[in-house]
Amino acid sequence: MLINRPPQDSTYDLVVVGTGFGSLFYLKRYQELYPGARILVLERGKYHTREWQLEQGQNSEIGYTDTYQMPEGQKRWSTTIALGGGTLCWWGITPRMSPEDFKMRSNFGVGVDWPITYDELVPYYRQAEQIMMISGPNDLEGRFPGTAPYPARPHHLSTPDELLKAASPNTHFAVPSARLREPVGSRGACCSTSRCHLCPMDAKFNALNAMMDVLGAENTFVLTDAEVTHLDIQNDVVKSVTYSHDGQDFSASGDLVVLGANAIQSPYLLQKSGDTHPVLGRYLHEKLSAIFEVHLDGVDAFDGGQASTGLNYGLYDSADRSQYGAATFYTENHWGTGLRTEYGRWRQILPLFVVIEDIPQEHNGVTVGDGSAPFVDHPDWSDYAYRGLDKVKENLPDVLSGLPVESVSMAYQLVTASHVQGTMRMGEDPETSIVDKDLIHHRVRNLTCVGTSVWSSCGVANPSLTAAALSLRAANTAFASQEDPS
Amino acid sequence: MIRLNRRQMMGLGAAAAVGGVLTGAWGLHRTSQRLAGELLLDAFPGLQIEEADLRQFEQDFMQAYWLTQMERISLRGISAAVGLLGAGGVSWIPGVRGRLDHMRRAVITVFLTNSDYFTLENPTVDTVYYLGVDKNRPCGNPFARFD
Repeated sequence: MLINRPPQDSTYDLVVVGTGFGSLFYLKRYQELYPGARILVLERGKYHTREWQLEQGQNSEIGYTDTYQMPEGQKRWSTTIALGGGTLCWWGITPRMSPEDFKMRSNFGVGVDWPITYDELVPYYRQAEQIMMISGPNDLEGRFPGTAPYPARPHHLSTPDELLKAASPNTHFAVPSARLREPVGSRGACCSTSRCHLCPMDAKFNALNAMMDVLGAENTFVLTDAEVTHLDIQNDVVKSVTYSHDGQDFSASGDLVVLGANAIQSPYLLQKSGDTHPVLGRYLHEKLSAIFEVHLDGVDAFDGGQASTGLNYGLYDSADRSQYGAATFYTENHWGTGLRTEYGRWRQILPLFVVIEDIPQEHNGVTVGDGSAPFVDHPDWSDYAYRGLDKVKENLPDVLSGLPVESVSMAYQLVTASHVQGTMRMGEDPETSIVDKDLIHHRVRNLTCVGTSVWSSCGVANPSLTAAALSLRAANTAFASQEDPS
Repeated sequence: MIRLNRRQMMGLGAAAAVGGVLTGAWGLHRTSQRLAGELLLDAFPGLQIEEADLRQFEQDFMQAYWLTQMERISLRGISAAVGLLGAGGVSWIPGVRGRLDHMRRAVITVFLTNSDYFTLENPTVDTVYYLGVDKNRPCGNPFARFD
């Protein structure tokens, strides 16, 4: 175990900031290409073992609201700052983004296009799905072209899912997920807990159970409790990374620096480092999400094989995205909102987790504030997203026509889906974006920015798989000769 | 005859007031705790459950599960009112009916998912054992299919 092995000098081939999806998948591909490279990985949080997390009931001792400031009354944002970052707290759901999500301006006249296409990302999606050992169905090809057979068979659908699948085979699918269906090595099989951030079986992919070979590789030095305070950028080159550890300040230099803190901390670090680009920190966004409840007549739920069993695109396909946000929903296999109260009909209820895309707005974002922590200002989702929510209420009964539905109602809107996106957006134009299609900073060419901060449009997909695929592509494109990694 | 000076009188008065408040709070707490059990028995007519299990359920429900501190405080007021007027007598008060419905749903869910109810052949006849709330119970869905 090389965690916290003291760095022996201050010069490296690569310095990586953060250890979430973006950083780890970049690091993995980079190590494959340069096995002997000297690498320093700086993580602000601690190395919390799985046992510690289960015992404490949390993924990090750093509370997410302790790492930023915001105006009173606004929504909170949740991130995990610890070795492994978002791989610890995520729930393991891995849909791809749809091809049209990358072309919002071209297809719908709203938002912006990404500078890459879905097709360019396909080989890297495949690779990320293999690395994470995704359990998924083999009927998603029509929706996600280029989907290879998933490494593992899908988890069981629930009875309501089976009815929806029979009625709408092209819009309802088993959820692809990074939760093992069969045990592999020390990792157990998913037991359909509803506490995936603290997976009791260690079935869910995370840094600690699947990426320790990357973090422990020879010549890779991982330092936790190492808070990067700024990057020394001179003449459009990152000369060094300054960090504090054990109460002292240190400096490390690398031929290349990969910035993958999170979509709040990463832009803040660049801002503190003197990057005054007007778009830096802007367009912070996430999906609008809500829990709906469907009362069923005579059909019991909760007999699927994982926490969320079905993924439905009925609302997505019918959306007029020039006017309002598209939506998808997951059928939930746990009773977070409660069972029914009518005697004997306890399980005749289907909770839905509904997500609606937003249009990133320039006025939402991260600034330096008083310099002690990022200041996050996001007054609300856009009208575009709320119109999408109205359409969900209107159209959901039709989409659920394959079920014996008694009633459909919205239980509550969630404060956050814990998907923080878009503060260092990717684009072709250096005037309106921070990084190019290869995730390289437009101006500072030895700086690569990874993770969900580079999102150009919101989409409806959970972002972790795409963050991983983007990083694999970025490392491959920068250092391999454009070969298809698959 | 005991003579008290003004300071002693004030001290005794304050002590009595504090005692009254504590007694009242304890009474409200007991009442609200019992409310969980009453809602449970109301939701499951004829439920066979041991007295100790019922008390443990009431205690667990109020202490650990689903209720925030503010909800508990609010519930105590509602519970006291139900004690005085009955559930029907307070349901006209704005917000109270919703709160009771919410609590009833929580009571049913917590009990069903933390007892052996779903494993019994005939839970309307057999004794149902409350197993206790254990947030660390790893796999709490008895209906999930894995094969």
